[in-house]
Amino acid sequence: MKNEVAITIVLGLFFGALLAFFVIGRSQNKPVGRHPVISKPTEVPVQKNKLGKEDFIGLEIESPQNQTVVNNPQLKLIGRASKNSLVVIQTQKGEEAFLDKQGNFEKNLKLVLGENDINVTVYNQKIQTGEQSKLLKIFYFPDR
Amino acid sequence: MKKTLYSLLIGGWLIFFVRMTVLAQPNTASPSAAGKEVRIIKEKIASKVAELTKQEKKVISGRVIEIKDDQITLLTDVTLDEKKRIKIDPELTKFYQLAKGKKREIKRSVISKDDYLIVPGLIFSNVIANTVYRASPYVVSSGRIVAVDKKNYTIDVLTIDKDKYTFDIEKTTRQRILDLKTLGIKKAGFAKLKEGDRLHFVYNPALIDKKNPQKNHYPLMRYLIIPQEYFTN
Repeated sequence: MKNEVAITIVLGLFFGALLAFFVIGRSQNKPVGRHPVISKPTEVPVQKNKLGKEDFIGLEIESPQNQTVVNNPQLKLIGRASKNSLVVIQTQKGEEAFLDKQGNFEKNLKLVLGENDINVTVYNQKIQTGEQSKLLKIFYFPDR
Repeated sequence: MKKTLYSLLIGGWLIFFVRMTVLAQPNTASPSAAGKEVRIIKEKIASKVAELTKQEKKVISGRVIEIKDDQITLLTDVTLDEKKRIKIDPELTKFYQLAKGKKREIKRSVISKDDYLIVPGLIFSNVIANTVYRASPYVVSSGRIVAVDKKNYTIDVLTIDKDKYTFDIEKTTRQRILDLKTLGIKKAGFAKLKEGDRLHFVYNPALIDKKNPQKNHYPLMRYLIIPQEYFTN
């Protein structure tokens, strides 16, 4: 066998093996999530409000949900209203009123043992949409 | 000689193609993929447990309309005429009275028709209730003042649902008004109440005027006035 032939064979084997290992290395560095074991959850497109956050009109209570049972007497009420609304929160034990300049409000409320009915009302001076109210029933039991 | 050379060259490339064929198979057994699968299953289990815990924390409340030996029927929604039955066990079920932020154990025999009960942890009506709380019912709502009777110290209020109420303003009624300058809340008196003002109020429906129950006449526990000037200024 000529030397050139031997070199060609060795180079053929070497480059074949090199290419194989290169491809193996690349495929093993791929992220785990791309393995077709369990399909990734499909992302639901978020439908934006036509008016946008700035122009939100009305009342929305983000937290807590109605009929929630809690074991802590301190409750953070988080909501959304149109800007510069007067927010009135009425409970069995007291009432709160404040101007919501930003259109987002947070208020800490103290719950009583058992059932707590929280009535949230917003009034807007400029927009003639009238008042909007939401009633939440929250149950507080410390031993639950 | 040439045949041998070609055989060796083909052999070299064959190694490459064999590796490629192996790689083409889905690598389901790789440790990272298995770990991911286990994590997802764990998350699903945790989510299910949280859901069940939430269900267990459901509470029903309402007025007693019927009491039988081992069963109490509650009217949970007056408007929808929704009724719920709760099963009680003389040995297991404990009864408590809620008052002033505290609970006190009471006997089952104390429970009577028209009492307001709160029953936590009940998912199905055929499940025995562990704990039953008796409490004073109250209603929190708002409306517009449509009449003020200065002689009898009563006011008429029309809610957004067009329900009309007559409320007695008593010495014990906690009276508050929105300060239009500061938008804070300050003390008020009967003289501050006027037609057209918005009123946020709390009353006990059990204290209805039993002589005239159709009139929706109650003593008022507390109120907050939003003066009509707030909307006109």
